[in-house]
Amino acid sequence: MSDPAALDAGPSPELLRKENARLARRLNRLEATVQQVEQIRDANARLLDRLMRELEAERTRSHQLLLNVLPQPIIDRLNAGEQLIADRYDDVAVVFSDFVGFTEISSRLPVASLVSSLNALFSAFDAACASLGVDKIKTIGDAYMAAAGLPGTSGDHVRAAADLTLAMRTAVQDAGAPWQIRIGLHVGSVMAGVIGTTKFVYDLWGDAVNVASRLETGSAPGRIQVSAAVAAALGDAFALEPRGAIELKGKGSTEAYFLLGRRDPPDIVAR
Amino acid sequence: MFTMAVGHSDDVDPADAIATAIEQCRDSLGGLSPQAGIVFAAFDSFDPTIVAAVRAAFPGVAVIGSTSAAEISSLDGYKEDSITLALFASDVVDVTVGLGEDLGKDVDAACRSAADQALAATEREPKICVVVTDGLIGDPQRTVDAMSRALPAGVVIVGGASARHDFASETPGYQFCADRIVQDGITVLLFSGPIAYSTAVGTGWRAIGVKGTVTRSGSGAIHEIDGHPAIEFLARYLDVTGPAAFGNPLAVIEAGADESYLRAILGSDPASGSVVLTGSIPVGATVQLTTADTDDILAGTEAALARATAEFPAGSKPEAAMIFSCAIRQFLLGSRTQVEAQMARSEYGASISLAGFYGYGEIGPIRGAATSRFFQETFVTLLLGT
Repeated sequence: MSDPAALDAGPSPELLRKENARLARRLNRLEATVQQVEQIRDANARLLDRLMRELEAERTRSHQLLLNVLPQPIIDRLNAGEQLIADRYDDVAVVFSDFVGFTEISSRLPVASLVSSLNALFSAFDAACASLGVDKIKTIGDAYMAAAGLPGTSGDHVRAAADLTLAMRTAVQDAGAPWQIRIGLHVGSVMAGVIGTTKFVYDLWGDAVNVASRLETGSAPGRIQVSAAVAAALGDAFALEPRGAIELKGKGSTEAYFLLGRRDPPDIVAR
Repeated sequence: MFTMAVGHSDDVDPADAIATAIEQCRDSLGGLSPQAGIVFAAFDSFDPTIVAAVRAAFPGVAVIGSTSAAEISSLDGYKEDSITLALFASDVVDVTVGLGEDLGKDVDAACRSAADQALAATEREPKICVVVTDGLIGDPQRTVDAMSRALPAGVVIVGGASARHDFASETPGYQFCADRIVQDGITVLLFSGPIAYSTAVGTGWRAIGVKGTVTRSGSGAIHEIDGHPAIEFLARYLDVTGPAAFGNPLAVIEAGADESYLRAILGSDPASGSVVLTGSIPVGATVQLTTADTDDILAGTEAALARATAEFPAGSKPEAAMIFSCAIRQFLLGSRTQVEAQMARSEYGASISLAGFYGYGEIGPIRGAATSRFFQETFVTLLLGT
C-alpha cells in the first residue's frame, strides 16, 4: 500500500503538467534541430567529397608545375624539410648556348615578334631536352643552359648532351635568319642544388659550368665547341674537328673541338 | 536615476510566466514607477494577454515587445521557452515607445509612425533607439534606413528582428506595442535625455577565400558577383544545393565602410543563379565567405562586451545592458549558447541588470557607415546608464 503522506509530498499534478509541457517543447525543438543537423551533415559530406576531388586535381597540377622547375628528387627532399640542397657530382655534361648578335636582333624586331621567336626556339630546345633525357637548367635572357648526368637520368649522358647541342643547332638553322647560335659543351664536376628561401631555382655551380660557358663564348656562329673531355667521352660515334689549343678566360690554354655531327643514329636515351 | 528592472520566467503557462516576471520587476523597482518596458517572449510562450498583464500591473507603462527564439536576463541567464520583461524607470531620462505597422506596404510610413509616437511623448533630446522589427516581410535593411530617416540625425539605432517558431516554419513573428499585436511591424524604445550609452557589435567569424564585388542585387538576393551568377562564387566553397549555409555567412563590406557585417546564406536559386539571403546588399559591396568554430563565435561575443565596456562614457555609471543575439548563433553554439549570457554577466558585473533576446537578425552601428546596418549571426550589446 502507498503511503498517502509520501504521495502528498511529491510534485503536484500542476507541476507535472508544466514539466511535461516544457519537455514536449524541448523535444519538438530538438527534433527540428536534429533534422537540420542531418541536412547539414549530408551537405557537408557532399561538399567534402567534391573539395577532396578538387584538392587532388590541384595537387596534381601543382606537382606538374613544380616538376617544370625542379627535378623530382629535389622536390622530394624539399618536401622532406631540407632547406639547403647542394650536392657534388663529378661527371656532369653542361651545355651552354647563346644567340649570335642578339642585342642587335632585339633592337630591330618588335618585342612581341622577338618574344615569339625566342619562345619557339626555346620550346624546341625544351622538347629536345625532354626526348634526350637532359635536364634544362635555366634560360638567362637569350642564353640556354642544360645538363646531363644529374641524378634521375640514365644512359650515356655525354652523348645525350651532344645530341642535344646538335638538335639545338638544327632548330636554329630551321628558324633561318637572323637567328644563329653558339654552343659550348663540357663535362666535369659541378655542385647542383637549390639555395635561397623564395622563388626556388635548381641551379649548377662549379668549374664545369664555367668551362662550358666559356667554350660557348669562344665558339663560332653555328658551331658547337666541346672540350677534350667531351671529345674523349664521345669516342667514334661523333664527328669532331680539332681546334687545337685555345685560350679560355681564367683557364689558360685548353684543347677544344668543334662537334660536327653524329656518325651513326643516336641510341634512345631514357630517363 | 536610471534603472532597468528585469523579470524572467520559463513557466509554460504565459499567464503564470508573465505574473512571475512582473513580481520580480516589482521587487526590483522598489516602489519606482516604470515609464516603459519591453517583453521578449518565446514563440510558444507568447500570448496576447501578457502585454495586458504588464499594463495592468503598472498602469500607464508603455510596453513593446516581440517573439523571440530565446531570452536572456540577469536573473536566469539564457533560457528557451521563456518570457523576459524589462521595465525602465528614470527621473532624468525619458523612455518612450512607438509601433509602426504594414512594413511590407510602406516602410517609410511605418517607420515614421513608430518614430513619431516615441518622439511625441518626450521633450528631451533623443539619443538612442532600440528597434525590434519584423525581419522576414520586406527588406530589414530598408527598414533600418527608413527608421534612420524618421529619427532625428544622430540617434543611434540598435536592436534585432523578431523570431518565429523555428527556422523552417512558416509562422510569422509578432511585434507588439500597447494593445496592438502585428506581424509586419516595427516597435521602438526611444531613450531621450542625459542617457549615457555604448554599443558594440561582435561576430567571431573569420573571412576565408576570395573576395567578390556585388554587381547585381535585389531585396533578398544577390544576383551577380563580379559579373557572374552569384551562385558560382559560392559553389567554389559550398554545396549550393544543400540547406542554408549557417556556418559560413557572407561578410559584407560596403563602399566607404571600415568594418564588415554578416548576412546568413539562406539558399540559392539554381535557375537564376542568385544567392538567397535576408535583406538587400548594395551593388559595389565586397563580399567574402567566413568560417568560425564555437570558440571563435564566443570570442566575438567577448570582444563586443569588452568594447562596450571600454567605450562607455567616462564619468557615467552603467546601470543596465541589453543584448541582441542571433538565433543562428544559438543554433550553432548549441549547449554553449548560455555562455554568451554568462560572459555578459562576467564582463558587466552582477550589479548591471541584463535583458535580451535571440532573433532572426540584429541591428547596430558599424564603423565607417553613416547609419546602422541590419546583419545576422552577430552579437550586439547596448550598455545604458547615466
